[in-house]
Formats: sequence, structure tokens, C-alpha cells
Amino acid sequence: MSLWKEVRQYKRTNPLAYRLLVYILLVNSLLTLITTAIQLYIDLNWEISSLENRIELIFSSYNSSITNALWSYDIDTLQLNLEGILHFPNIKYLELTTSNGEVFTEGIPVKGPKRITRAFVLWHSAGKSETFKLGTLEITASLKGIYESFFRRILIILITNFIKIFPTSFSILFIFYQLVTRHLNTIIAYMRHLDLDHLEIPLTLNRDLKSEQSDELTQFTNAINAMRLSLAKQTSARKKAVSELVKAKEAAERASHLKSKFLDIAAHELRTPTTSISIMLDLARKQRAKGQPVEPTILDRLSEESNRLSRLVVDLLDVSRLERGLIPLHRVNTDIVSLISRCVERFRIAVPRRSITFTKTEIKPIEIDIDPTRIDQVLSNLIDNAARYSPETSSIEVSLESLPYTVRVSVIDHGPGIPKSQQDELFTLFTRGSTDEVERTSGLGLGLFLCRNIIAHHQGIIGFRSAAGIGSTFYFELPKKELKT
Amino acid sequence: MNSLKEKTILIIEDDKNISFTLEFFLKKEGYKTLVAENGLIALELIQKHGIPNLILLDMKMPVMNGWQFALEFLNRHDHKSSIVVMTAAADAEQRAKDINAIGWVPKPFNLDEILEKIKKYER
Repeated sequence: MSLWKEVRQYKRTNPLAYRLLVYILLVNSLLTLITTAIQLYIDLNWEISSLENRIELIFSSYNSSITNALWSYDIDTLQLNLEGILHFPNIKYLELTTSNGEVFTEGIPVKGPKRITRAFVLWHSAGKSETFKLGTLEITASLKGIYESFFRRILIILITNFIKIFPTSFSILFIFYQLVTRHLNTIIAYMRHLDLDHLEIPLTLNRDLKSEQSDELTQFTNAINAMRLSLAKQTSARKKAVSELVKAKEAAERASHLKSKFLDIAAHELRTPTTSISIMLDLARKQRAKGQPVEPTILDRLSEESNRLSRLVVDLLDVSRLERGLIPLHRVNTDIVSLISRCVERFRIAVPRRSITFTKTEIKPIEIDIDPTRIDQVLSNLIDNAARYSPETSSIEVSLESLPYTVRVSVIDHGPGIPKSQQDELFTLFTRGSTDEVERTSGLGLGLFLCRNIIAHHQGIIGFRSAAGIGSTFYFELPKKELKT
Repeated sequence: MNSLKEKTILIIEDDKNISFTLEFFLKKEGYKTLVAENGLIALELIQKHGIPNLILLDMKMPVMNGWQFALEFLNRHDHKSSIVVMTAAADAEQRAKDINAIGWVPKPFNLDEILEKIKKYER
């Protein structure tokens, strides 16, 4: 019962090997049966014909003594002779009929088809040409013994052959397993776990083959590996194409997002100076309407705010051009000392309430190759930021240091300092997030973004230091000679 | 004008010209004013001078912006003072709703507009 179950299990898990086994067994058994049958048929015929020959041989050796006994009518001798014949193997019955009708029998008559009977004429020769027929002798031999040994041999041959068939079949099966089936199982397992993301693992069979030996399995393995490589190539090409598309899409989305954010920021940034100018003019008009003198600082403040507004408009246009890569520098040899002096002086006039000082380590001019308009724009932005984000009573200091290879310009204020949370994104124009953040964070971004780009175009550096409650220092350094890039 | 009990307006605005003009104008209109350039200074002023009758609040400021101030103020003093938002954002109404403000004035505005709002919402 359990063996049958195991066979069924084997049939289910190894159908090919099972079928092979069944065919081998069937063919082997059939061939064994046919060859055994032919061999035994020939053997049987040979035994029967040799029995016939033996009967003739026996008769010829007893012929003369039987004829003599019959001639002399010596019944005892005749009896003795007949008994002698009966002693030979397979000879079972003798019947002697004399010419005058007397019948002598010896042995037991054999019935049925399993016998052979041969009749011999008994001749007595009296002279040279005289012969007398004394009678006939029928010798009957039984084939029972021959058939019995024949069937015994059939049985033995069949048993030995079938004993031989099973080990042979299982050996073939084992060889087939070693050569084919186990590799097929490996291939099936490999193909089952193959997916497009893991094409780098090749199919290898556990075989002990010399490299120059190539058979059907090797060719099959090579074909699968070639297919795998071509798939991997295609997949990676497709992945690359997809990732490039995704990148392009993201870049386009980012650009579009930046553009709309830029518009938001522009609109937003313009509203503050506009409000300032609007309400200051409002106030002046109201005072005049009432016949009162106009508040003296209002005109200064208006001029300061209108300067700021024009700078902002220029900045916005520049940022927009910078985004499209359209900001050319017009470099000329410029004395940085007088450039700073002029810029500081302009602020002193525009914002007379503020104390703005300029300190320098060098008195003589320092000529460097810069775009004066752009550097003035940077410095103005830094001074304006300092003025906006520090108390009106505090001073602003601008300093110039001549270093071995660069000049360093610093703008120092005594305001509240820049919160840590805003420091990282200070020079970034459009910080991440929604337009909410545009309003939530201070509006430094635009001007500083522009400053950083202008300084970078001059192969310079820009940075800041800030301490809460003490103030901030923004600085930039420009090379004294243009650096080779 | 001075016979009435003076009402206090707290102006929280980082742009000095705007805060200067508003302060100057509101004083002339008979209000007592307090000016803070960011939310943190405003909270200190409230602590020192008491809760004002109205707060004019700019949203975008360094150190402590309008959102942070409103959150902290409402947390400390509930709705004991009306907040009117002054904003340059495109959706001023939404900005006001975000911080539970009573009203809003979109930038740019003029002095009559701001005075009208103050009269409407002062407590």
C-alpha cells in the first residue's frame, strides 16, 4: 500500500523518469520473452530429433539379436532384449508383431500427443539374396520428460531474466537522472525565480565537465544565458529611458513651479514699498489739507522707499534674466575703494537718520577687474538689508580689507541677528514649499540670491556671520586678478 | 479727543517706514500706539503695557512672524484683543482666517482704509 503510494508520488513528481522506467521495463520484458521463446523452440526441436536418432541407434544395436531370437523362437532371449531396450531413458512401450500375427508387448502404452512412435521391420537374411520379413517392432518414447525439463528451463530463464531487467532499468534511470533530470530540475527552479530585476545571476548547472566538452545541455544553458543577457540589456536601456523621462518631467515641473513662485514673490515683494509710499504720500496730503507742516522726515523716507522700489524692480528683472542665463558682466578696471565710498555716500544722503561708516585698511586705490554696476548693486543690497533689519538708532559699518589675493567687503549691522532656521536658506531664491512660506519667511531671498550669483560670476565668495541679539555681518571677497577658471 | 479714554493700538510691522507713518497718523487720530518690529518684541510690549484694544499685524517678519505671534498671543490671552492682518499675500482673507483674526487689510492700503478697519473692530 505504502509502496504504491510512493510510486504514485514518484509518478507525479517525476513524470518523465517514470514514463522512461515503464517503457524500459516493458521493452525489456517483451524482448526477453521473445528471445526466450525462440531459443526454447529451437532447443525443443533439437531434443525431439535427438530422441528420434537415439531410437534408431537403439534399434540398430538390438536389431540382430532380436531377429535371431525371433528366428530361433527363443522367447526368453527376445523378452530379455525387449526389457533391455525399455531401460533406455524416455522409452516407455514396445510392441512386436510377428508375421504370423503373434504380438509381444513390453512396458506401459503411452496415450495422448506427448509421444513419438517409430516402427521398424525385422528382416532375417538366409542367403545372399533371400530375406524373410519376421515382423515389425514399434518403439514408443514418451516426451513427458523432455517437456518437463523444458518447462523447468522456461521458468529458470524467465526468473533470471526478470531479475536482470530490474537492476538494469533502475541503473538506466539513475544514469538518466544524473545526466538529464537533475539538471532539468535546476533549470526549472532557475526559470521559476527569474525576474527582470535579477537578471545578473547566470544559469549554472552542477556538472563536472571539461570546458571543451559541449553537449545539448551546455548548448541549452548557453542559449538561456544569452537570452538573459539580451533581456538585461533591454531592461536596463528601458529603465534608463524611463528614468531620463522622469528626470526631464521633474525638471519641467520644477521650472514651471519656480516660474509661478517667482511671479508670486514679485507681486508680494512689490506690495510692501508700494504700501509704504502710498501711506506716506497719504499722510503728507492730509497734513497739507489741514494746513499743518509736512512731517520733516517724510520726504527722506519717500526718497529712500522709492530708491528701494527701483532697486527691487531692477532686482526682479535681473533675477528673471538670471534664471534664463542672461546676465552679462561688463568688466572694467575699477577702484573698489572709491566705488564703496560713493555707494556709502549715496545711502548717507538717502537715509540721513542712519549712521553709516566706511572703514578701510588701504587709503590708496585698489584696482580690480569687475563690473562696477553689479558690484554696486550687491553692496547696495547688503546695506539696504542692514538698514531694514536693524533698529534706526543703531549704526551700520562698511569695511574694506585688502588680503593677499582678494579684497573683502563687509557690511556690519547691530540688529537682532538671523534666526538659525532661516540661515540655511538665506541665499536660496525660491525655497521649497507652498507660497505660504514666501510670506512666513523674511523677504531677504531675492536680493541675496542675486548677490550670490553676481559674486559667483566674478569668481568671488559671499557669506555671513550672525549672532542673536548682537547683529549680522555680510561679506564678499573678490579676486584681485581674475582667476583662470 | 483726549477727554475720551485713549485706546491703544499695537502695530507689529518690520518695515520701519510703514510703522513710522501708521504710528504718526494714529497718534494724530487720538490713539495711543505701541510699535514692535517683530512678534517677539510685540509679546514683550504686551507683557509690559497690557493688552491693547487692537493689533495691526504684519505676517512676514524676521525673528517671530505673524503666524507664530498669533498662535502665542491667542494661547496666552485668548481673544481679549482684535487682530487685524496687514498682508501682501494674494489671499488676505484666508491669511486672516488661518490665525482667527477679526479682519484684514490687503497691502497696498491707504490711511483711510486702515482707520475704517480700526474703528470697526476696536474694543
